[in-house]
Amino acid sequence: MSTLPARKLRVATASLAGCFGCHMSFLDIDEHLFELVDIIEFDRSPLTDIKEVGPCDIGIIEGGVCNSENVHVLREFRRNCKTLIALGACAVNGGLPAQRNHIPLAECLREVYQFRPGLENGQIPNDPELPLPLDKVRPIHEVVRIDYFIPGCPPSGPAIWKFLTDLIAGRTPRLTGGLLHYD
Amino acid sequence: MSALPSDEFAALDGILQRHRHDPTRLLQILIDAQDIAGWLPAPVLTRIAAGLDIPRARVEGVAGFYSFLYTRPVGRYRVLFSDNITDRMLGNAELLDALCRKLWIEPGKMSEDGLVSVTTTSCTGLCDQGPAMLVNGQAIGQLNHRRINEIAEMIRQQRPLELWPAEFFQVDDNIRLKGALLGLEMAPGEALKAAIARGPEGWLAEMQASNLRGRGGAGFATAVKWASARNAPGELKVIVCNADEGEPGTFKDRVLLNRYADLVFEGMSLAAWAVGAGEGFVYLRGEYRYLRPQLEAVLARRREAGLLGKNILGQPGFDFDIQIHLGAGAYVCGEESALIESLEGKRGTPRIRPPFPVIKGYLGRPTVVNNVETLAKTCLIALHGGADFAATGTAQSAGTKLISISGDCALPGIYEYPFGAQISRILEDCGASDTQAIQVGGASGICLASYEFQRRIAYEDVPTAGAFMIFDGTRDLFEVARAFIHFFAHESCGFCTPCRVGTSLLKGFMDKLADGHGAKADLNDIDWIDRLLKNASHCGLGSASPNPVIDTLQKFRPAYERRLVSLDFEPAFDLDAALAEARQLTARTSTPGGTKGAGPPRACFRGGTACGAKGAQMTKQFLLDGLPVPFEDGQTVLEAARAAGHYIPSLCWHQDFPPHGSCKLCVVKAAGRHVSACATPAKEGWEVESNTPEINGERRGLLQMLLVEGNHFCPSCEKSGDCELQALGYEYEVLTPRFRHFFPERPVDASHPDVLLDFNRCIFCELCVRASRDIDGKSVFALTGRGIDKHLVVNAESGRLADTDFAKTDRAANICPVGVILHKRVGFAVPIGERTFDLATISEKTLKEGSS
Ligand SMILES: Cc1cc2nc3c(=O)[nH]c(=O)nc-3n(C[C@H](O)[C@H](O)[C@H](O)COP(=O)(O)O)c2cc1C
Ligand code: SF4
Ligand code: SF4
Ligand code: SF4
Ligand code: FES
Repeated sequence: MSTLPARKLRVATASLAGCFGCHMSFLDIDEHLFELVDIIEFDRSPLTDIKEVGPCDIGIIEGGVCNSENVHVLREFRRNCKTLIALGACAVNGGLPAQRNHIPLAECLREVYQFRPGLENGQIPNDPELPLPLDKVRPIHEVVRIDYFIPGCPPSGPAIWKFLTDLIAGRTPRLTGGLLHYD
Repeated sequence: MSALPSDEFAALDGILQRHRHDPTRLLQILIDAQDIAGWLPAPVLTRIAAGLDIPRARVEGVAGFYSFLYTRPVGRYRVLFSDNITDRMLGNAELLDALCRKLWIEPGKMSEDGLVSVTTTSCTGLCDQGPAMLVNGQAIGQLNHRRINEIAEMIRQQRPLELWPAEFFQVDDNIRLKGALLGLEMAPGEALKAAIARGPEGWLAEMQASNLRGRGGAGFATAVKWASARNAPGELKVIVCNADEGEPGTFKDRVLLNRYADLVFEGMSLAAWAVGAGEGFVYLRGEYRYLRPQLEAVLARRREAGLLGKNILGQPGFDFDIQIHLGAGAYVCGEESALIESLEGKRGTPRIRPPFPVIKGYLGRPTVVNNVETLAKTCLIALHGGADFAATGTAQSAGTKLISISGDCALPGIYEYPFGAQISRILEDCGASDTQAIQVGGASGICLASYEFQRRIAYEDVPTAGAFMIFDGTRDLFEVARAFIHFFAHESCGFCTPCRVGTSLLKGFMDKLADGHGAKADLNDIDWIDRLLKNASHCGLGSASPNPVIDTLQKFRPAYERRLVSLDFEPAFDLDAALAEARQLTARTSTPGGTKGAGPPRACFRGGTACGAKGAQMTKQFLLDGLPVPFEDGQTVLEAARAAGHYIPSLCWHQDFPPHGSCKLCVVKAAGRHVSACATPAKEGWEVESNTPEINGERRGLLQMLLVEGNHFCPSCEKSGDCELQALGYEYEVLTPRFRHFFPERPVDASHPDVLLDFNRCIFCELCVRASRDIDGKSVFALTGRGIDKHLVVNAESGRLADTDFAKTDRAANICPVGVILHKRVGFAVPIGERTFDLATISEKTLKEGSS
């Protein structure tokens, strides 16, 4: 990379209503990971043990927003990250979890916890430790301002790599020629 | 088919017979059929389709288009509150609530006993005597709590409308200032005699000399229109009086029809004399249905007097008669080509122009469409001559203009001014004080602030179809704009992408601001949607729809800014409220990490004459992004460009069909104007811009609109990799949907043994509709609903594909550009990675196929 930043960029990542597939794809950039760790350091991320996000240059969010905790985490990221990126189909447009949006929440929960065959006296869990689900699953750009989007289910390793290197080098990131996929 | 009582069927058959089983009378038949039960049950639609020998889906498509046709039960008393901004200012919302409370019902929902339903409707044209309502089509103005109490009582007692106090239904003309037209006293037939004496050419010459321009909004020279229709090929010619008067705040045509109907009909006959037309229609908006009996009486009198019918006024061969067609609650039907579609008994979707109606209009016949006032004014010209008419007004605007004044003033009503009248004088005359702003020309017109009141009413300064709504210092101009945006979103016909999706998105943003969730970022999005609407819309409705927002954002920006709660970003919904259901289900109150404070078969359509002339010399050319593109006469910009190896994107265009013009992906700028390349014939020497950042940006915006409108989750879609919408998303580097998702709730139909329908991905290109109708000869599909609620239906009363004669070998089964019509059991036969657009981008593929 031609124009390296003077200090290491701090990057945080999180998975909200996602399947970690996007994070797995992130790791798929293989040997580029070594290049990456030369120029970035991780803040809160499933790849580290840091629990609360601190001030960062870049935040990367996988998954949509399906419950109160997702809202909280997303807002913390927005507050702390100069640049916030939606990574993958679920973050970009709600994805698979948003396919429940046609169904009223009550019906959804009852079907799963009360009426499923084999469940006796099933009850909708009400443990105060559990985050409350939102009525609908939302793409993250409907909850906070998002600066960049990387579609794909998941986006490929090379797409993520291209995007990040563009960004770090100060070019407006572009995904072209097969790197852009919605599936 | 579920059964209907046999006497209802007998009544229905009587209606069909009265309309001669003529499919062009479908809308009139539906209106009459609805009078039987107050609504249109499914078996009625089936019976009408059978009676007219047309596909049921088409009947359903039409019934679903018009606001005043109901395919679900409504109360025996249907109360519709007029919801123009002037009604809102007079407190219609409070009165609606009061009525609902007294009747124990919810707005928009029928009472359980089927007695009554109460909801709102677009402006009913009683702005000078509002708040107003329609009860079973009868207009009542000057509503207040006393009237509402009485109405509630009479409904509860089920008193028939004929027995309600007559003064309730009295509609005042409120004529405040008379000029040449309103002061005219003319015996019926006098103008016609004068014109007949001059002969058709002599009469047209007078019209020419008058410089009369259309009063319906566009201001087109009336004589030019008449002459074009006269000279157009075709024996049968048609005169249409546009009495749709749907522009909010306009009610001058109502007064003309009520008090001066003879002048209007005489004007139509004058047009017929000039054009050589034999057939006339008045397209009367459904809201004015109560005027119909008296209008029919005037027509009957004129027939008796020899002013209509055969050999009018003893003139051999001058045969002309007029019939009244009713609209049924659709503002877009005031647009002349949509009006003609509606006259033909179809959905009111504006046509692609050219050809213009004067060349090909009603049933393909040369058709003149004129506004009520335009037609009435021609009587003055016939009586006093063109020069006399041209002597009043301004250089480019001859004669007088009727203005409908409403809002904050002492004397609302009708005023007739010579063109050139100054706004400040008008305000003075009607007793307006402390005026903050006026909306001239209705919702699609222009908003003027007080520093502009020296301007004048004239085509060359402030043009108007006649609406003049006044807002004093106590009014909030943001709310005014919001009311108009609600109007447009409700009235969008839903044909083209920018207007169907854009008006609803805009409404969403205005409501977001109103609800206290506004952020600075929203103003940028609003600007962007405004631009897409202005530039890419198919008709005047869409392109004018952002006007109220554009004007008020410019002139009353603080009214928006003070609603912003954040300078950055705010969600459109209340996060706490979004948790309410879960809270209730789990009987919990708090949340960890809580969100507090959250706010024709195989015909060639490659352009008219071009098909056979492939080898012919192409001498004409236009410039596309600076490069010369040769074309043959009749070729469209898109066809010529592609043939020359330049890609212009498309979604709804298909080489085996005539252009559709709905998706607007093919938008280009030709000679500085935005047009649809697929529907626009190429012109010699044109400079066309296509592959520019501006146009590509707009295409991206349109793609984003399509992506949020439907429910596009590509990872679970079998069409992924073969889908044109997706491929265009890649072509134009659409990384984000940008807007809020609609998450529509459209059912999936898996009933058919071979084919699955997932309506959630439909982009309304109508390729399946066209293929099934024109190639398969089956008409399995049709569109129904309107605006953002538009959707596809199949040709079966059950609504199930399995109950149609659809087959997987149909052309319609193999033409959908996106993932709606999917063959079963072959979903993943071709693996991801080896599909159509994995092998080549859509531009590469299109150009390769184009040149083979
Ligand atoms: C959305 C829309 C609604 C319109 N509504 C009306 C209407 O209600 N009455 C009318 O006379 N013209 C209306 N027009 C204008 C007509 O298309 C047409 O220009 C007019 O009827 C021509 O008559 P004129 O030349 O006498 O003005 C409308 C146009 C648009 C785009
Ligand atoms: S959807 Fe398009 S065609 Fe229909 S009213 Fe709007 S702009 Fe006109
Ligand atoms: S129809 Fe096209 S854009 Fe929509 S989900 Fe399927 S592949 Fe994606
Ligand atoms: S189903 Fe497919 S072909 Fe038919 S209108 Fe919708 S997108 Fe077009
Ligand atoms: S409008 Fe759809 S291709 Fe032209």
